[in-house]
Amino acid sequence: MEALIVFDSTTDAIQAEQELLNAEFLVKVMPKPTSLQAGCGFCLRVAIGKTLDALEVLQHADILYSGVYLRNNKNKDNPYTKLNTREEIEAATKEHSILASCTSGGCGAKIGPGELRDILGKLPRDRGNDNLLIGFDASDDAAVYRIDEVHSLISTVDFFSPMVEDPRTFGRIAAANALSDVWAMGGTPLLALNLVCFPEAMDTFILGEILAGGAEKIMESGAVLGGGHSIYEKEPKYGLAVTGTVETKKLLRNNTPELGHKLILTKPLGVGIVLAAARGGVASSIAMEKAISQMEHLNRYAAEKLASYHVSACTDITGFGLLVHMLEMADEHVTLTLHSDALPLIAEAIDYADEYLLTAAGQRNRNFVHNRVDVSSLPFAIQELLFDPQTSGGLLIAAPSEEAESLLMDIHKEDPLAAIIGEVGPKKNQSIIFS
Amino acid sequence: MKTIDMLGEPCPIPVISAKKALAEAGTDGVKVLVDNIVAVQNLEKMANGTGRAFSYVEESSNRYAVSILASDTVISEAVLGVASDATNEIDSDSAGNFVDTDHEEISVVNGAHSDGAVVLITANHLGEGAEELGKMLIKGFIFSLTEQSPLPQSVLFLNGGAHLTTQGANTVPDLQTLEEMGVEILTCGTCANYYNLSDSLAVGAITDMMGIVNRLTKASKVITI
Repeated sequence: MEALIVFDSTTDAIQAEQELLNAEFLVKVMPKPTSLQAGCGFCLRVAIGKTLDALEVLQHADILYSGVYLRNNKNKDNPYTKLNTREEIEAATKEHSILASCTSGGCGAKIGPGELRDILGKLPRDRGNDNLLIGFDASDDAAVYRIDEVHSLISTVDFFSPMVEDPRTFGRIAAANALSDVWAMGGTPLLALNLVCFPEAMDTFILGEILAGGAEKIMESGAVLGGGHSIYEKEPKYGLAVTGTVETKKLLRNNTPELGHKLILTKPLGVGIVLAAARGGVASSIAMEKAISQMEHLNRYAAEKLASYHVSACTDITGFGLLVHMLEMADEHVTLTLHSDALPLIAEAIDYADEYLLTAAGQRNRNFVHNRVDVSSLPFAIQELLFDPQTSGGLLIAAPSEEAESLLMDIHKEDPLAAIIGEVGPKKNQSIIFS
Repeated sequence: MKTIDMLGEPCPIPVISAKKALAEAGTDGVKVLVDNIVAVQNLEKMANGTGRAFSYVEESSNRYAVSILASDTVISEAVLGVASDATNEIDSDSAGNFVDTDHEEISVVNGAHSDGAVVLITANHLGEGAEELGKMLIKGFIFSLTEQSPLPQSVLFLNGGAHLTTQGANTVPDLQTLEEMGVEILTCGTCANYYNLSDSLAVGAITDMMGIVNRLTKASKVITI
């Protein structure tokens, strides 16, 4: 939802746009709506959650504005409500900004890997059921259940709070993220169910947008939306429960990489840090564009290339960050060598990491890895990117050395930033080493 | 020493606020109250990385008081400076990802108005006169297209108009809205190439002169800007 800032003179509006662009605001111009009496011919639009910050910039630059209005598209007859005081702007933000209502968003909100392992370790397990091929003891991407001689079901669920302001974009990202687990197992998604938490006081237009974004991605995935469940909750959350299928012998596990295989990562690292910088109001619009574009991008395309190759292991990168997923992949059997110079990275994230614009989840990942991997030889920013929580991250694939280049070229058709980042070697003292 | 209350604030807000406080002239340091150990650790990384003395007291299980001393050796640290410096570089790596196939599916759902006008935009400003005014007017014009009924069928960008469909232009979100509503957004490839914008197309697709002329001759009405 947007706020309109109205000005008395055209010169003020032009100056204000320039000041806000310089300060990296996503500001847009529109002609003053005829129904608003006051003001000159132009007004500026900013996200409702950014309005107070924008007004501060204008005050600082001595630019006068004559009023602030909330723009509510849903109300066709009277879409503009005047916001007279700071309190009214804050109240409107609470009602209309999905981001402002959240304390943490995206995969960064995951419960830490260490904590989770301890809790799950105490749950009873039904060892008698041989059909559960992959369960919660495997720390793999999804549960896999054999249904006949040939096929298995893949079942997975993922949801989180918003990490971007635009509800439709959030819907797309949450759905792309939830669907990804099926592809990471080598499967095909068939059926998706919506999971929704939504504040009672928030505008339901926003919920419609979130679900529309999710539906777009479900359609693109080839799966079908079958229904869902929604409840009132203080903070909005959205995700999917997804059911897929796989030919059991083509199932891709996350901890079975073969010696000599090369490691391919399909999306750049750094979205967690870019989102943290955005939370602090200092992410550039180009960095945000990159992060959003890759979070919305489905892992379907990279995954579909794998069938023609002899891939030995695959997983998708989540809030646990690359290094934790590499530890899971190495398991107890092999040592993975990571070429830190070859890592695909969002360039701005390196700068933000050097400015300590870091997430809590990244630090939890660092604590979990602790002394199991010695990262001290790497520059600080690279260390942070290895721990950075990825929302809707890429696939990490182990493929035969002689096939890796050809697979990478295939993957590049839709994921041009994918790269070979390391290889699988015999077990050494440490499970992951750097070169 | 100044105390800042960051209880309940998610990372990286405590670090950003602490850096701001430490950048104030004449400060001897900052005391930061946070409610979890991970925030303490993120503050510690910042303090260590910038060569400042760090200590903390766990006052209760959800209240930690972190002290970071100002250091004479880091007098003019550019708080948040690096973050915004990096913004002006256009990274062509990510170009090409913006032409999403899902938009095509949406256009079928919403239905572009096949009788709608074709709008030809030939500059990044509207009308003759002051350039800064013209640049505002064209942005207002593009927004107004989103509220028309019927919507235009296509919006074509030629010559300087290519500046409006590429990365960094704040007309892109409104053009994306148009595209989502089924309006075809096309930019002249030759023009984008001339202005070195080929790798930074942010909305719609590239077309050639044949594509442009084809749409103009078939249109029931053409609006040229």
